[in-house]
Amino acid sequence: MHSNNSSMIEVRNIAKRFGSVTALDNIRFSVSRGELFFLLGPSGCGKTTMLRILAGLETQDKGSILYNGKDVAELPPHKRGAPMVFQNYALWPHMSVYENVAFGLVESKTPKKEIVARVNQALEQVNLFGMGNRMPNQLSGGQQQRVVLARALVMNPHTVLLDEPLSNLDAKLRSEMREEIEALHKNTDITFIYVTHDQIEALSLADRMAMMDNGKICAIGTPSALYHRPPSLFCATFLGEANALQGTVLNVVGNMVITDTAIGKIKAVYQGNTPTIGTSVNCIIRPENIRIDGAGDNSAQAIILSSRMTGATTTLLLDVNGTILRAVMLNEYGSNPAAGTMVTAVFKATDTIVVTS
Amino acid sequence: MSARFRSWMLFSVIALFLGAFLLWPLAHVFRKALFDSNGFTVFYFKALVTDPLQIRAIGTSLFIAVMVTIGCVIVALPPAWLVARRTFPGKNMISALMLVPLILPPFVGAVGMKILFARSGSLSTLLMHMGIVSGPIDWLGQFPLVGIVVMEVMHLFPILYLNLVAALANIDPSLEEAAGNLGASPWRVFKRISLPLAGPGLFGGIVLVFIWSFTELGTPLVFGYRRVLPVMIYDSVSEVGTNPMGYAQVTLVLIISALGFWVSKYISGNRGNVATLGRLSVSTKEKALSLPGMLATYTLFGIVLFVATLPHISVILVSCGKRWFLTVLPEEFTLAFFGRALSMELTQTALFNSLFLSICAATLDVFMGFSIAWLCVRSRIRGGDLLDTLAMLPLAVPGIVIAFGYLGCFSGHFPNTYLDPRFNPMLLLIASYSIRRLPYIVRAIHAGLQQVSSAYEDAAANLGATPLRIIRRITLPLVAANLLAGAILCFAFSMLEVADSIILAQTERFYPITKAIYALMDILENGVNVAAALGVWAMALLGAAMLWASCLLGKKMGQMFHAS
Repeated sequence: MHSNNSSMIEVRNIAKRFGSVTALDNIRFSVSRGELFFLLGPSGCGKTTMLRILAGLETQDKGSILYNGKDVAELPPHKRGAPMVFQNYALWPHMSVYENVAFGLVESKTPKKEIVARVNQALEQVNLFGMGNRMPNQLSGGQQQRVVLARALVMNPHTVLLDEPLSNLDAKLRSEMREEIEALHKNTDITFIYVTHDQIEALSLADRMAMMDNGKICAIGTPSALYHRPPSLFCATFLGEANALQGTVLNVVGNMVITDTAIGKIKAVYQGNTPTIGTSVNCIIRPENIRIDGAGDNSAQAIILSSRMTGATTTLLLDVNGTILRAVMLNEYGSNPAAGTMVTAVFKATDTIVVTS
Repeated sequence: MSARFRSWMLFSVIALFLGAFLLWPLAHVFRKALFDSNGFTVFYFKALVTDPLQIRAIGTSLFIAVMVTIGCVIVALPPAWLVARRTFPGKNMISALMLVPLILPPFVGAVGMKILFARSGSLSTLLMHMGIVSGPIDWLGQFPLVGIVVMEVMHLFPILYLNLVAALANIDPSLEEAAGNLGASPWRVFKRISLPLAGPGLFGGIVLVFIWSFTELGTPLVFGYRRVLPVMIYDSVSEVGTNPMGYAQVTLVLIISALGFWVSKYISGNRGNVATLGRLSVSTKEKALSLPGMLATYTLFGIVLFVATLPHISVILVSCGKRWFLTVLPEEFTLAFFGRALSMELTQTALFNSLFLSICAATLDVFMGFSIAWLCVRSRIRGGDLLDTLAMLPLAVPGIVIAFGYLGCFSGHFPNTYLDPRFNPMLLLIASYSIRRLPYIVRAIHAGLQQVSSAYEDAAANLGATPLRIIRRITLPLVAANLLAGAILCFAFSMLEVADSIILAQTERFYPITKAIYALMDILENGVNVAAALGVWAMALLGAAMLWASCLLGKKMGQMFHAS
């Protein structure tokens, strides 16, 4: 079977062009066995192309892909053993739910008895037991999604590839399915590679994720690391909301950086290479890390431009000498500050990250 | 790798077939018309366009084609608009009935019409009884061209009708509503918005009708009008080996047809896809008709259908009428001719031949059509588009040209083999039937494949199905309706094929139905009645086939009868 310590899937220097468009540029990452790995990026960033190359539905121009240490370049799609959950489901309309789920087993010449047992088990796994006789067009969107999942899981695959599986569902169903996918993943040791543009899906489900932009991977890490210590401005702004203050590096002390910005001197932390004094950088502060009371490493006088209640939180727009900062705070009945109030915006140095690109 | 190799194998087989049975005979025709023992020459063309007899024939043929085309537009437009834009009870049935004319080759209808409009026929008698005219009038003898044009309009207008319904249904209704909203009257909306947007569809149908009527052989032959180009070509068949004039005539037909085809493609291409820009949002809003509107609609359809089925009615009357002379309707009715139509050796062989040939041609077409469409849409091998263009070529190549080309090309090169139509025309008849219908079936399957998302096939490959298994389990079942409908239509039209059959089948035991009907008419005693009865049998068979096909395809049927 599979060795446990090596990576299940390794992607090495994959490149792909469509005509004059570079879809993928030197993509490399590895996914270990049983991991729930995300490819996250805006539409058109190449993440679906990457997934289709993994499935063998597209061929890369350069680079190689290893499943369990073996190069799969010569393997046609039907021999890759990595079933895919398609964005538009691709449930064959001329086959019943049962026939759809049984398809792969029939192709692999599984004995009939075993097919029946495994299909029923897979349908049960996705809470569709007894629905085998329905046709796909008699199912709701959520049910169709479950059939597609069952169709993949029934193969007992080493890996399942998911292409924006929840994008066609409404918000409520989406969060339900998210939980179900999480449960399915926990109960199996199948590797999931999951493509999405929805950062909430990625942040809430991923063991690790790769962020893609313009055919390149710009960051790989756990959701928490990428959110709290973004390696780049793009990463910071695509994942959640961020205030970005442009500044010049004045001094570096230990892992602290002093920068000069439009709202004064700011203490921040950095990741990776030490910033060079005198260079231009961006200071990233998450809105929820800015407070308007107490004391902190960084503070500035501000006027509240607007105060908007959005349910659990209130979003404030703060004007600091013409620079706008966005702050988010938990609601407390009767104590929300009004527009026009003078306040002090306060944030910690450890919540302020310097990025050079 | 091996999938790619298989694609190329398939490509080569089909390219070879089309090369041998389409391009080579055409090249042969050109060569014979433009080259003699001294090299390139325009001598025969010069002879063609300086001979007043020939010029008159060419002019007459063009005149017939233009009049038939105009006639078809006039007859097809109002019903098409009503069906596409209004709703009324019985619409689906009426719409299906509009296809009835297609199930009878016009020359068979002409057999009946000849009796209806003869000097001693129904119309003359009726008018004499009513005292409108004093003596019998020989309508067809006096106005032969009118007879030919009317016959062909009645047969061909459904092609335009299908095209127009499909084209109108594709127009986003909001485009018309916007025009109405800005102050245009319904007629102005139709003229300024609907008609221009339906233009490509209209032209696609017009050129088919034009080529079809320009090269129609059967109708003038039955009406005894020999001064048209197709009949003159038919007459030169016997001296195909010795006299190159026939080749020059065929080449001229081919050039004019290709020109018409090219013009329609150019016009359609220029208009682009404006009409279908909003296709996704099309939710056809069909308005209900008011009571007077409804009455007018039924009257219109009633008249169109009555006139269009007049040939059918007359053929049926001839097939079961005894003693029909100087009376409006036959004096006695009998079913004997139906029996005779099935018991004569000539007709039995002909029925068997036609069934055999048409089934073979339809099978071959399904195989080739699916392969070509699949190579173009799915495998996307280089050269797939070339094959597609080649498969569309027969739209511009009339049957008479192909048949003439086969006769000249294969008789000379392979005398006394199965490729020599004088020895045994079966193989060549299958080839010509299937090549002539190939564009329709390629188009039907092409459309079907494009509507089937390739994600279905990707998903199957992803779950372990080999390329061949994907075709068998996913692709074929998903386009089955298009495939079957295409096959039925191919079968039906092969049964009706006139020019190829009449020219290629030269001995009685190889006669298909159409040639048998033509031959029966020369048999003195009741030959015409038996011919008509055989026509009725064919009509019943084809009617059932067409009905089945139109049920399978619905509105998509129009996409098949389109020349670009």
